[in-house]
Amino acid sequence: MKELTLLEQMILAAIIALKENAYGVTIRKRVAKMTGRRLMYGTLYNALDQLTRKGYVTKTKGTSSSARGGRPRIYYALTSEGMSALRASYNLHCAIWESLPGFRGD
Amino acid sequence: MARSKGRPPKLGQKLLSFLAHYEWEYSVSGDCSEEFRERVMEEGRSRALLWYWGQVIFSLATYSKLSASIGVAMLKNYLKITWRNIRNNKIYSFINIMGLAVGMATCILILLWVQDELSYDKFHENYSDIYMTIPELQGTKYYSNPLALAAVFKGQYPEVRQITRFCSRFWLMKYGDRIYNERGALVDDDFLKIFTFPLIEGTPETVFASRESIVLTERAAAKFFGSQNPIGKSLLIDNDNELIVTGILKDIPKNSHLQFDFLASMRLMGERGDTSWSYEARTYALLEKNVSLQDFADKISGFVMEHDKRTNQRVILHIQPLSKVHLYSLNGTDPILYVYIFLTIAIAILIIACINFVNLTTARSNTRAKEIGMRKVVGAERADIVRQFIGESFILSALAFLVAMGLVYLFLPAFNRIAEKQLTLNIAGNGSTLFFLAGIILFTGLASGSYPAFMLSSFRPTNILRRGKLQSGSGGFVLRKILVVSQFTATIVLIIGTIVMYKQLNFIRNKDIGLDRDRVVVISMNTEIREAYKAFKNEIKQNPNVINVTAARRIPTNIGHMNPVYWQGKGPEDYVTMTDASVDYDYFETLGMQIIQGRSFSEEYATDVENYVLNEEALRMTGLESPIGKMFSCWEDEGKIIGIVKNFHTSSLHSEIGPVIFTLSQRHGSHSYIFVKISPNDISGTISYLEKKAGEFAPNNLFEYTFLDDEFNRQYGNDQRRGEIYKYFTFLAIFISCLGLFGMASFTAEQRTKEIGIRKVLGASLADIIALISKDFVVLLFVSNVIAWPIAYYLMNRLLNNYAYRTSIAVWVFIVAGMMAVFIALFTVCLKIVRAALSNPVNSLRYE
Repeated sequence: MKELTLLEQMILAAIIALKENAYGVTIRKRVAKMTGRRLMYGTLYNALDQLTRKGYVTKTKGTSSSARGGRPRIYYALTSEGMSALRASYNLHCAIWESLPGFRGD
Repeated sequence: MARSKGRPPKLGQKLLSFLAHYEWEYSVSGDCSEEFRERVMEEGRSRALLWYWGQVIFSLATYSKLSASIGVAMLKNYLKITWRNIRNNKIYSFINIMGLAVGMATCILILLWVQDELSYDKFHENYSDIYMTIPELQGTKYYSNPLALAAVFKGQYPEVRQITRFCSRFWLMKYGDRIYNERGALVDDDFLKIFTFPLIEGTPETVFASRESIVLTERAAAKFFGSQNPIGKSLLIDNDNELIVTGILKDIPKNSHLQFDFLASMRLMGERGDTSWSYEARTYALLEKNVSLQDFADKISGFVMEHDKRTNQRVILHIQPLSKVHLYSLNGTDPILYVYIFLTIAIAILIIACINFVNLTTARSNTRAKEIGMRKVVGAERADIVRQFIGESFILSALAFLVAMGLVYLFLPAFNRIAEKQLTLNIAGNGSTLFFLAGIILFTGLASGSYPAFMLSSFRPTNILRRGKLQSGSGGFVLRKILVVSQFTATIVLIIGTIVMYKQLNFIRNKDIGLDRDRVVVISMNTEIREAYKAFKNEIKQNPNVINVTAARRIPTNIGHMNPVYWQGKGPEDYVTMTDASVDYDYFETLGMQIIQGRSFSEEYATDVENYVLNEEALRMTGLESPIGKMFSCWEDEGKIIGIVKNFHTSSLHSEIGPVIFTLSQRHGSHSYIFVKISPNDISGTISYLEKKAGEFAPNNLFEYTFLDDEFNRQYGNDQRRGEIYKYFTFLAIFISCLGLFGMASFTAEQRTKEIGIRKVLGASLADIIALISKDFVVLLFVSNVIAWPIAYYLMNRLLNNYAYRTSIAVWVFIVAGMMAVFIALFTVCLKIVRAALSNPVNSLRYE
């Protein structure tokens, strides 16, 4: 299994945190809140497409509203493969940083 | 409102959904719309818009499917290579961009000029339904219609919705101590309903309610009343009528063929205005929408003959649409010819600039050969290479366009001065301007990019990579020669055109026109001077610097009206009209006109008031063998022919000399202009003397004067302006061509650096080397000359045929133009080669 890129990790983490409410706008905001990075929608969706293709996330179509110009929301959720891939990344990070406690700066 | 405020731009939504497949479209477009709404609330619409467009553009660019299909990564590479090429070859890039920019700027200026010419009178709401009635006498058409025509006309034809007359001239206007001469027109009440001249004060229905109404333009109102409210103020017109201001018009647009400072009611003319069949009024009719013009024209053609019972004159009445007033003339050449000429020049100049681009790019294809070889080896299709090079030329033409816009902004004021226009480059507000600017970029990009693109993409990678460079003498070589030849052919044609046009203008100015127009002061008469004319004449003749004094109804450039004439022995059924000029004693003497038979008017013969002097042309038309003493009459005024004056030119040399008869103006009415021939000593002193004397005789009036030669030259104002514009375009064409030649010479010098070095080592002199390299160019230039001469001869002949009196196209013109082109070109080439030839052969042999 290939390791997740940083961007993918951010997005997957955001989706988990958002639970039922993970769609484009909220994911983007969540990522910005977590990491301070403002993604372009193009970047975000390229990554989401990639994750879908790998089978890490699933999509469900929500209801459309006039605020969205009649376009339905598309909600994302992690699959179990997604979950284990993210966990693998987490474990890897922990393994790297465990040996250096107190490395975190401000 | 809130809803529409929060809605993102339609175009952005379209773009997103047009280019992305459906899932993307749903999510990206939806997300963007949702967040856009929030952002509008938080940071305002303009910043939200900025954000939105950023998202749209970036999303499109990064959208993986799309980005793969247009090859975003490859595009980046192309851009980088283009930029490196521009940077690494500063001379060529400069020549390419500058050449294209100057070409484009010229093109834009000319197109603006053309656009303005085509815009005349279009601002009238009824533009397409307004027609003028045009009488034709003896094969000549006139704008002036009989005064009485309009009233009868309207009643007779139901096709006519509204009709108005327009009699314009200068009037003396007075308010308090402010006196000005203003151009004003008497019009009928419907004038402002037919034409769209917006009123700031007053309504079209009421401004002419009373006979004593006057409607001023904003400009004229400000001149008389400053910041006071002009409505209700009274103005004294021609020291005669007291008129009340009832309306203010917006200033008349420059692109209106009707120009005036004020309008007054036609009723001021009194009864004469409605009954006289004298040709004095332009007449405009607003026709019903669905009138068959052909039928209507047939119906009215005999109208004047039917109603004007005085004579059996043959007058055919025509109609002409408003759209033809500015660019078509009634008789002779239509000015629209010049629109075509200038358009052709604009395109020619742009093509000359494109040729530079093609030449330099193909000539320098060697330097790109390896790159192309590599690209092909790693899998570029031919189409990719084509796209790359066309793209490159688009980038260059876009850069050139930016420079061109700068140039246009810089030179527009100067151009306006020369062309006497008020052109503006209003990009945002004008769809067609945008359209043609985009068209120019597209045209330039394609025209200059396609040949290099196809030629370069045809290289075989194995050949290129094995040899390291292309074989010399590859396909582009012949083409380059052809292009240089065509470029210089166009330039030489333009040079010849400039010289011929100047020659013609000089010919016109210096032609012996049969009267002496130098140092003749023309003073406009006002009522006071008119009454005291005799005394005034005698008074100023005392001054030794005043050589002679006379007066006349009109200025010689517009000498009189056509009127029917009879003479002893003329068949009763022939109808002949001649121009009738009424003048004072001493007219021929003052204006230096030569009496070739008989004598001129003299105060010694009381009967001279009834007598006639004819010009040669008039005499030729009568066919009289010994004219002196023969009976002659104009209308019913009988008299004798007392003299024949040598032919002289009245109107511009575009037209032939017509028949003119002279009578003394004592017979009917009075003079309008005084002509004073002054000596060359102290001209300004004499003029101020005249002004002082005129002030004594006419304290209540303006002293206004012009010089007769200026009046004559004014007729050629248009020719002069066109010549002037044309001259600058020729300079630009020469400049662009030489720029290209300079580039080619640099390239040749660079290519042959080693050869030059070896030749120098073996003992070649500077002259030898210059001769060696410039030889090729000289041959091309001679070929260009040979092609250009017949083309120029043909075109110039056609142009000069518009003048009844034209200069010859002498052989020297061609030689001079050819030599000029050769010298300028050689100079340009030498500029580059001398440096190459002077450089130390050691360096040049070590080169590479």
